[in-house]
Parts: sequence; C-alpha cells; structure tokens
Amino acid sequence: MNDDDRIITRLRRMLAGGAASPPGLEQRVSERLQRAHPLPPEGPLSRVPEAPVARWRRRPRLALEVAVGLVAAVAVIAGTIAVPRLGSGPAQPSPPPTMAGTTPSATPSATPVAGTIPPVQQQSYQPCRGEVQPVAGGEWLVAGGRLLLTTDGGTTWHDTTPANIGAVAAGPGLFCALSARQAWLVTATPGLGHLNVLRTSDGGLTWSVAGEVHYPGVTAGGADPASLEFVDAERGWLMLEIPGMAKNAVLFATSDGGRTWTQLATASIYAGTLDFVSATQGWLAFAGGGGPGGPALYRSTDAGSTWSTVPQPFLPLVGQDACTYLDAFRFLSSTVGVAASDDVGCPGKRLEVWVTTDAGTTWQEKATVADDTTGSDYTCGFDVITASVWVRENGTCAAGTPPVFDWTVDGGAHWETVTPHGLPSGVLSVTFVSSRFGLAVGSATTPHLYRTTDSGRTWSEVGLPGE
Amino acid sequence: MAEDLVHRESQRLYSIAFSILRDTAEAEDAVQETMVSAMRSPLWEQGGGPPPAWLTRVCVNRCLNSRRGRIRHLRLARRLAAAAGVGAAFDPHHLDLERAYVSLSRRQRAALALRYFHGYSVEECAELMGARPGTVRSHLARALERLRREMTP
Repeated sequence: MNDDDRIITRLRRMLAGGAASPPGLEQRVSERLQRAHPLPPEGPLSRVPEAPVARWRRRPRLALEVAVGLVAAVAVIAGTIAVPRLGSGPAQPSPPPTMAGTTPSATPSATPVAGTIPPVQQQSYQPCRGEVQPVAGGEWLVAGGRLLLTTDGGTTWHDTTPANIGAVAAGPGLFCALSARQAWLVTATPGLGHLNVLRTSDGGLTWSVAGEVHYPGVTAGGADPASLEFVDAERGWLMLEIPGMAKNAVLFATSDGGRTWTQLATASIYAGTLDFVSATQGWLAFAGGGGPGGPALYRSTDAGSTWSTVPQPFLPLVGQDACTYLDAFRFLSSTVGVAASDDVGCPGKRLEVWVTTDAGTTWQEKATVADDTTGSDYTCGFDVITASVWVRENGTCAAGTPPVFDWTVDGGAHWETVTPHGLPSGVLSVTFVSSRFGLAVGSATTPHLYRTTDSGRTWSEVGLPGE
Repeated sequence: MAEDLVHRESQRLYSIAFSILRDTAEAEDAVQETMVSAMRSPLWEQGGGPPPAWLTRVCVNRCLNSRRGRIRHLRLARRLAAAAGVGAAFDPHHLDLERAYVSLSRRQRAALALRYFHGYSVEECAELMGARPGTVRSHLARALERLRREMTP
C-alpha cells in the first residue's frame, strides 16, 4: 500500500465518521419547504409598469415605541447618521489615513487607547454584500428566507419580503440596496429560464419586476449570481459565477435601473468581490479560496467593459490560494481603499491591513496582526468604518465562545479590545455599521438578531416580525 | 411528494454536503437549498420529483458556490488549527487529516469526497462538479499531493 492508498483509506474512515445527518434534519427541511412555497399557478410576477401590490405598511407606532426609538436614536445618532452612497450624491471628503508612522503596529490590545471608542460614522456605504446591508436611512437584513428593513437603528424591523417569490435566498449577488427606499433583488425560478430583477423604490412596500437577465443554465445550477452592485438609481452590475469555467465570471450591466441588462465581454475574469466606486471605475478582487484559479485584483475604468490586472501586495502568489481569505476590500472614495487579507490554515500566518490613497497604484501595510498559536485568536471578520477606523472580529469563529472585538481608530497604530456581553456563541456574522452600532446574526436558518450601540460591549436580542 | 422526497434524499444529500463542507450548519443549508430548488424545478411536477442525479448535481453546486460557506469553511479551518476547538463531529483520531483536508480548496475536497468516499467515477465527478474529467484528475492529484505533504511529519 503506497502513501496515496493509505491517505485514501484514512480519508474514507474520516468522512464516514461525520456522514450521519443531525437529528431533526428531515423535519427542518420540510419546514423550510413549507416556508419556500412555490410560485402560484398564474406564473411570474407582473412586469413594470403594471400596478404592484402592497406588501406591508408601516403600522402606526405606539407612543412607547416612539419613545424607545427616540432614546435609541439619541444613543446611536452619531454612529448611524446616513451619508450618501458613493456615486449617489456629492462626493464625501476623503481624509487621508491617519496612521502613525510606517511601522506595522503591535498586536491588538497591546496598547489600549483611551478606553472609549469615539462615535464615527461610516465614510461611505459598503458594497452590496453580507447579510446586513447598511444604507442611507436604515439597514437591510437578509436572514431566514426573509428580507427585513429597519429605519430606527435596528429597534424595529419590517418584513419587506416580496410576495410570490417564497423565501429570499441569502448570498452575494442577490440583493443590493442603495438607500432605505431603493433596492434590487435577484430571484431565480427554474421554470422561467432566466433571472428576474425585482426593484422597490418605496422601502419594500411594493416590488415589481424591473427586468430579466438571460444566460444559459442560469436557473438550473449552471450559473450563480456572485455580485450585485448599484452606484445610483440607474447604473448597476450583476456578476454571474459559472461553475467549471477557467475564468468563471460573466458580467452584466444596466444603465436604466435594471430594466435592460447587457452582457459585457469579460469572460476573462474571476468571480470575486465587485466594488464600483463610480459609474465608470470599479474593482474586482478575487482571493481564491475554492475557485478555479489564483488570486487577482482587477480594475476597470470603463464601467466594466474591460478589466486589467493591478499589482498588489495583499494577495499571495498563484498556487497559494487555499491559504488566503480577503477579510475586507473596500474603496471609500475613488482614491482611498482598504484591504485586509488573512492567511488561513497555513502555519505562522497573519492578518495584514493595507491602505491605498492613490487609487491602488501603491499600497502601504498599516497593521499586522499575528494569529496566535493557542487557537483562540483568529480573525473571523473585519469591518472598515473609515480609512483609519476598523474593527476585527476575533476569536474561535462561530464555535465555542463569542468573539471579541479589536478596535482601532488610528489606522492600526493602537488597538482596544472589547469583550461582548449578551452575545451567544455560534454567531454567524457581525456587521458594524459605525464605531458604535453593530448587528449580529445568530443563525442562518432560524435567525436571531442581536444589536449593540456601544461598540460591541453589550448586545441585546432584537425581536423580528412574526416572532 | 415533498415528504417522500425529503425522507428519501435528505440523508444522502447531507452526507455529500458534509463530506465537502465539513460544517454541519452549512451542510444542512445546502440540503435545504437543494430541496427548495427541487420544489421550484419543472421536474417537480413530474412523478416523484427530480431524479437523484439532478439533486446530487444541484447539491454539489451549492456546496461549491456558496460564498457564505467559504467564509465558514475558512473559519472552520482556523478552528481546526486549534485542536482544543474541535467539535464532536470530528474524530480526534483523524484530526491531522481533518486539518489538512479543510485546508484544501473546495473543489479539491469535492473531487476527493465524490471519487473516493461516495464512489463516483472521474467522469461522474466531472459531471457533478461542472468540470472536465481532466480537471477533476488534476484536483485529485493536487489534493493527494497536498495531503501527503501536510501529513508528513
């Protein structure tokens, strides 16, 4: 028996050990099927401009609710004040990073800052990714097959799930919100043979089919939405990931709010993180980690028609993709961007944070955090609030104990560790909208939502509609 | 029909999903998403629902392309890097192999699991993964080479 045979034998034994399904699986699958009821017999949703159907109305609020909302608003006001998304209004000033010196910092908590994290609002809004999408005037949440919206800092949530589509799937490339009123949702129905792009302009009160995206196999497992981006009410991009293709991305663009989609000639790029900072300038970061090729960073200056590879220091060489995850990649303006890459599963690796202030021409390493060897200190998430205010979700990552949060307000020169209270173990994702306000989703299938307004020190569970 | 399909296929699909993802929650998500896809498929109206091969392909595709799963996989890799953090789903006797296995790319794991644990041929693996047979062979060779390297003292 040679080495490969021995490994295969052990592999079979190992895989056999975890093959039994968990108790109650069939019941939970049945419940999920009941929630995701199929389309009604009359067929697809009505197209614009047919009259849409109201889904929900904001109910009159009781005085108590108003009072609670006001208190919450005062508590988080500095952290949640809305600013326009890039490209949707006047450009926000982009202060340069304020990192002290050029030497990478010490590990988090080595030199605590003053002990309180100042209120800092997001400099711009994140690209459309993740379960929680902060926008001007509120936050959207995709969880448990539903699309929810809050406009009062997470105190109350409204179910904005469109009628007739069953469950809302979570994942990249399926939902993009521009504000608390404008949002798009991509739905796939196998019988239709194309993707529907639904749009709301009234915060989910009504939805209608804005347009369709046609691509072979798109609703039969032959292509998956990978990224959806809008920079204003008209201009957006949808990237499809095509399994089995060497360069596995196909990009579509719209310039009329999703009504018509044009396939761009870009079958030479990987499906990754799409980040458009204006109607013409976009970035595409692909960190590998399961894809068919190596890591790469691309830039487009012609609205996605052509892409060119950009040299960068934070993604490793081709062939090492299994080790690297891109924890964060965000451009806060047309020139200032932050990237945090993290080597996983490779010995002696670390989190590195890089900043560019010249549109990606050069990158400076601003912080280096070594993962320790005890197994309790790993980067599980990384949120960029501004060019110099970041938070690292840090711990055993969705297992065992809840994470702790390492904050820096000076671009990694100093860090302050915040230990959470009231946050259970097994949290799937944490999103900090500002330096004070954050949301945590506790489960993918039966969502529990937790909210903090003090940088993650204390968390309280938020009731969701229907609970 | 839904109950029959769930009863008939859930365990099998979960086994496939977990062998690729090594994460109980993500594997269950993949099964649920596969069943939802089945219910929305035109094949649903045909007697008995979609055939097992269709379900398997959709399930594998879900496993390969779930971005959220990728993040959790990487988190799991970190967790496994610390022996103390290993949950009950993992046999401590295979911890070194488990650690090496989750450090593989998802396609490499899918190729290994489908070929050597679930018993599909290379051509069948290629069909399930939406790849060419040569690509699957390449995944298998690289994955075994990496496991060999990782597990060599």
